Amino acid sequence: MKNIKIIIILVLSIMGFNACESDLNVLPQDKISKDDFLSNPRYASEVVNSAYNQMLNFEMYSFAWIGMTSITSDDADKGSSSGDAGTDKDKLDNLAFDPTLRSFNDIWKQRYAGIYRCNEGIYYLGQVNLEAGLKARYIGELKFLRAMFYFDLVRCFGGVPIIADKIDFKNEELVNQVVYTRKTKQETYTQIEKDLNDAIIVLPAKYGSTDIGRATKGAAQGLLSKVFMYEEKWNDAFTMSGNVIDSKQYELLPNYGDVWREVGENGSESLFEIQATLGKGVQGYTDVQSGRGTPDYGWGFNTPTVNLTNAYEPGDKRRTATIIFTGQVLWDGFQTPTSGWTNPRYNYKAYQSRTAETWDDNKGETAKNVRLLKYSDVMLIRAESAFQIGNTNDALKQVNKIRTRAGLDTLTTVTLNQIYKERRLEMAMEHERWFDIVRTGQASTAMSAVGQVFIIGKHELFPIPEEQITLSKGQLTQNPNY
Amino acid sequence: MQKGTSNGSITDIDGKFTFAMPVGSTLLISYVGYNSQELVITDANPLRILLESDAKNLEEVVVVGYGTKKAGAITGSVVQIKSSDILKTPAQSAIQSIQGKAAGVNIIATDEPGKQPTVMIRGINTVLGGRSPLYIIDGVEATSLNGLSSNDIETIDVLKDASSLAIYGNKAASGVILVTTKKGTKGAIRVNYEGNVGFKGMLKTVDMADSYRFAYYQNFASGRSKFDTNQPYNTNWLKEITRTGVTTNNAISLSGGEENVNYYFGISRYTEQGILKGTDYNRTNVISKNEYKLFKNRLKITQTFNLSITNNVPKPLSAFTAAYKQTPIMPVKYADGKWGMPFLDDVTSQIGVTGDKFNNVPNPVAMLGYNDEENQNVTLFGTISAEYTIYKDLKFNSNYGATYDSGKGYTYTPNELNWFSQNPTGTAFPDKYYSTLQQRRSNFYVWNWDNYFTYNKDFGKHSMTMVLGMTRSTSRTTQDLSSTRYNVPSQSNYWILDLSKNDDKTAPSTLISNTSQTPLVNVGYFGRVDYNYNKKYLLTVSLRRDGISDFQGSNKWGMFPAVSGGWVISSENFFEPLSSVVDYVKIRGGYGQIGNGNACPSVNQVLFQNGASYPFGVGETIYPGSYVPYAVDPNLTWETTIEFGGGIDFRLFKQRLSGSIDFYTRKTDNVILPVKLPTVLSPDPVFLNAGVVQNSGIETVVNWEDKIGKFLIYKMGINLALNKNAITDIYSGYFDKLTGGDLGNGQYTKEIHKGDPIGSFYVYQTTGYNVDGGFTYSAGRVNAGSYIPKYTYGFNLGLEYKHFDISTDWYGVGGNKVFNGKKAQRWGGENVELSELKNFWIPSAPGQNYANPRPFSDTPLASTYYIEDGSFLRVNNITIGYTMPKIVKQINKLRVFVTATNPFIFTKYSGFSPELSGSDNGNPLTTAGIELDAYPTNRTLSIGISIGI
Repeated sequence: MKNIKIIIILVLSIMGFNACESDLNVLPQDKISKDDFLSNPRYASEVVNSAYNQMLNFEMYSFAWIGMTSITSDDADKGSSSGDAGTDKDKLDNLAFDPTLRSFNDIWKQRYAGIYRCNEGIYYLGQVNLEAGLKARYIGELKFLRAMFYFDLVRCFGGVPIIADKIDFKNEELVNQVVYTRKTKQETYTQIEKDLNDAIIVLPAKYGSTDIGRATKGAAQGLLSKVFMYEEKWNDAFTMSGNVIDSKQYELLPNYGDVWREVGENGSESLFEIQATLGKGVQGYTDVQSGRGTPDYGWGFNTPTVNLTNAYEPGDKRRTATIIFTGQVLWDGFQTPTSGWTNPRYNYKAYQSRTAETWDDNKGETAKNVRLLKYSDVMLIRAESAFQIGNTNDALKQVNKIRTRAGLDTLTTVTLNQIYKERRLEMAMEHERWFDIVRTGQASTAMSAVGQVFIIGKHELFPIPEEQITLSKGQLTQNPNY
Repeated sequence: MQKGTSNGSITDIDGKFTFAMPVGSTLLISYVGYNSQELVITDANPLRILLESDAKNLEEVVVVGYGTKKAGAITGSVVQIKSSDILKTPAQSAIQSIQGKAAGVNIIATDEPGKQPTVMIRGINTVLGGRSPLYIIDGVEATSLNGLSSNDIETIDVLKDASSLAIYGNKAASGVILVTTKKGTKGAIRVNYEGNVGFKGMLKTVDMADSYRFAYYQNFASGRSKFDTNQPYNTNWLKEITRTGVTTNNAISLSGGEENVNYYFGISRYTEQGILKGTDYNRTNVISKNEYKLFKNRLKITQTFNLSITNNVPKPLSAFTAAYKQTPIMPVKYADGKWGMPFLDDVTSQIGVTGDKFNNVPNPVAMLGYNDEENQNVTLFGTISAEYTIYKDLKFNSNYGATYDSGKGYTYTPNELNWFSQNPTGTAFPDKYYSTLQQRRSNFYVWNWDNYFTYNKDFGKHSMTMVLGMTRSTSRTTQDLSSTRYNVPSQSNYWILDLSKNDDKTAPSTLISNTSQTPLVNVGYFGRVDYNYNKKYLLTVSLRRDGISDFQGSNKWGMFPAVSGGWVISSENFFEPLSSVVDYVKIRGGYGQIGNGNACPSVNQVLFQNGASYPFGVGETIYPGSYVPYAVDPNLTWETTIEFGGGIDFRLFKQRLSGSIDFYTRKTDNVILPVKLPTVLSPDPVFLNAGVVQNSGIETVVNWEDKIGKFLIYKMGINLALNKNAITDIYSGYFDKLTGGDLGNGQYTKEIHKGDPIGSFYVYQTTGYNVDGGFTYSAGRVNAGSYIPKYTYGFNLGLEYKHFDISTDWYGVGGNKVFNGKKAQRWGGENVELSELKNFWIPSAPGQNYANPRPFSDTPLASTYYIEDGSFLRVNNITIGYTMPKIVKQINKLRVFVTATNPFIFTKYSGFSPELSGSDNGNPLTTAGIELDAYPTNRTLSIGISIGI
């Protein structure tokens, strides 16, 4: 029996040795561990890039955004075919807003997912050992993006919950207080201003050739001037847009049509745009808005209205640079079909040439950069704020520069409505119109001109998505009259 | 009967018989359930012959965790299925063949070539991963029986209850299936050949509207004469994409043995040309198993080696959905040979080569033709195990098993041809890449090493067996490599891929990707004591301490105890009066705790997910981006199941009636759920121990075996299993709901809620019709039942008469619902079922109780309109065999047979098949129970031969 005991002990110890319990400490092989991440400053740029990457998401600046900012307005109709509602785009087109529409939820969810990436990025950048200037710039970029995402939210939904730090989801009290409680519109704007002011200090005016596309000081200033315009802080908007103009970094491209073509990407007129290339594009942006039918170029949504088509003065070069008509030869020689496409008009600004621009047959993810902030926008902010503070000369100067480029006569005097109209045509199909008509109180009149009823006191804001109210267990309050 | 002749007689009810035979000849007496006896007749006096009860069934060896037991000593719930029952139903997977033969083992079969069925033992405990049972093939841990030929399996033992499973710790939560392959027995070399060929068709089809009715329906829907009702084509798409499938199966084995060595060698090949045109699947298996005895039998070494090579040419199952939805007015090809497209000529209102594209459905035939995909897999598994008798009753076993799998595949997409198939009037392909070639490679290597001592001691009427050991395993080691190239000219095959040239597409994410999973390491220490007194009182106690690498810190370790007992009440003295009727009764009961550590991989550490890259710079170069995709709960740990169960085994009427009744109730706590938070807290769901799942049920098995007259032997059995499943609690304050069953058109069909069974459909209730004849719906979604059956049952019957044998197996399920997903997944302009044109709402008499709404052509809400009763009773097989009388000396056995697999089904379900295993290995939150892109159940007629030399 003694021998047996020895054998047992021996074998057990061999077995124990082989099955060392430290074997259970397996390093992750599918993702980067936190330790690896924090120990290498090269990873720091990756968290910043991931926040930019969020903008490429289909639910970010693509179908839902097109629906809410353009199809809703008097510039565009749902388009596509009568049987294809585009999930809820028919309802957006007819101003039949309700909290269950998917587009609203997409925009809410993805903006906050972007804010999450910014917050996480700022949190982890704080722990990485990195050169101070670079770290500050990275944080500035994230703050710019965060401000832009909040600006989108406040324009859509009014005051929203403000989360500007990493929050532990297990802290229920904090979650209830911060994540499930809407702040006022003013508090939301204060947060946006704070982030942009921080960003303006640290962001460079220009980047080297490998970093083009990152947020610049001019982008932050331009966005802030727009924020001031929405807040009707006319003096601030006037000054801030002036800062952009006086920086001499930007000028109008000679040809309006080039602004949304590949030649105009990151050009002198560009303050900030979503960068897109083959394999990494704004998902669906071109596809959703391109000609439907034969040839099959896309889904055919967001078609310019007759109302927009007729809004241009004769000779306005922007008309044929904004609208694709059927039976027309496009700039790259492509002949649009006379019949075969379901709609008579499409958005030219979403067009990506298959022959003269970067193209790889993947119409779902093209190399088309989406322009989010351009110099002509800032000039019109300057014009409007100048007018509002009584500086009509400056307003006239900006408007005339815009008109000249469009091939129109200069004006000798300018009215607020003329500035509004110039803004409409200059920015047509660029996701501004709906917000502009709401902001300036033109919505009711403008929408009735296209046969839609804009209910004052309700339609200024979109409803808070039902899913989000449910997630908050009813703590998020709904907007008036929904 | 007289031995060596066909003279015989049978007894009367008192057991008397008379029979004339010469003195000196041998009388052979046999009776079902008793050992046969031979007797040499010496005179004509009446004989009183006592037959001994055949206790063979109780002495049969059943495989349990880290050892074997005699059936009589089992205190848990274990089912054994033998080779003959597996081979009776030809199927591509052995596990599918046992459907309806083991109560409580719910098998959702599939006929898709190469696909494994879903197996649920005693219900479903978990919402996420770890739903499938653990397979152990001769000691090798595996996730399926893929790679093993049915012909080479000797027995399949299914451990169902927690007291039997607890010794497997975290691996056992969904049951364990132990597979023992055939081995050689002592004697001369034996050769066996089995071959069969089968012809397959669809068990059930759906009648669709023809061209006239399609046009009529669409015109009604749109309220105008959009389509001419007299169309030039009338295509039956289902016919166009299907054919009669052919399967062949050939298996040959050599086996034998001598004093100290035995061997089994098998080689088999299965081929299937599926019912979907173009599909082609084949599998070749080679198995070798040898056993050596050394040092006067003190050391036994067993080695198994199995090689499986599969070659699969799949076609997209969405072709079935496309064929269902595509309009009959569209031709496969136009008169000029170009592929048909759903274009409506606005002048003639007929199908045209150009015009408004009125639906989004692809041309099903073109879709099959241009899908060029091939996958090849080589799977090797082997074990080497040693059993050393250290001292009398003490044995040491060491068993190492490993599986290596290597897969490769390609998908070639002819973009140019696809474009022309969609643009019949097109003249020049406008795009840059006329073809795309994607190639894939993957491999995994998993292993386990078990070491344990077994001590077996009988003293007097006491008998005891002790097992003590440890195990170590590594799994989930899959690596995937894929690469893409463009503009590869068409070839006969696409195994060549040279990335070094001719590739101007630079986006790195689309060109090559190599991903790896984080391996899962497990260490377990286990022990078990079996004790019995006089084979009458039985007790088993086991314990496992288990560690798993997926959790952090102290959450890695868990303890899993079990205890069970049995009482053979029929051995008690007080039972004596009943012994003429009751042969054997055992009552048993047990408790066990088991874990699931496989619910979700490594989700409680902060990890940075890459792929969130973004282009910067003049050349728009893509730079990498990473982020933390979900928040993490560092305290995440096992799902733990505690089960109480019991049962009774009985044999009555001189062993003719046998059976068992089992009941159980199991509660799974700490069920891991993905909890959806506002995206600003976590864009992806957070995994939390958040719920409780309860399963309870009863399993009943009754078998009857007897003989009528001299030659007719018959056996029949029925089994019934009831299971009640519910998520009884969800205690995370954050959990709202979990949705699933996405139809891909913006509609989903399933939700997970407290109080409901897993797999419940949550859809809108139709409440009537509005003024336009569309449905009105309930305000919110309602629970419309689960796709998981409440009960499953099986019936089998076998007859042997002289040289003929006939058998049939029936299988049925009930209490389950099916969502008719192909019918519900609409965007507009699709074809409809003939039944949708019957009794639909008409404006002239709006108030009536119509079966169908007014024709419509937009996306419908997921509603109870599409929920159907999924109950069915199916004849799984009918086999008629004939065993040839011995003609040639060299041939021991020659049997020919005809088998009809799934010849009949009785169901109310209107679609192709109510049995829907769904995607992602039966994930309850995907398409399980939803008929969408599903492979229809096949009806097969096969003929075969079996030869033994």
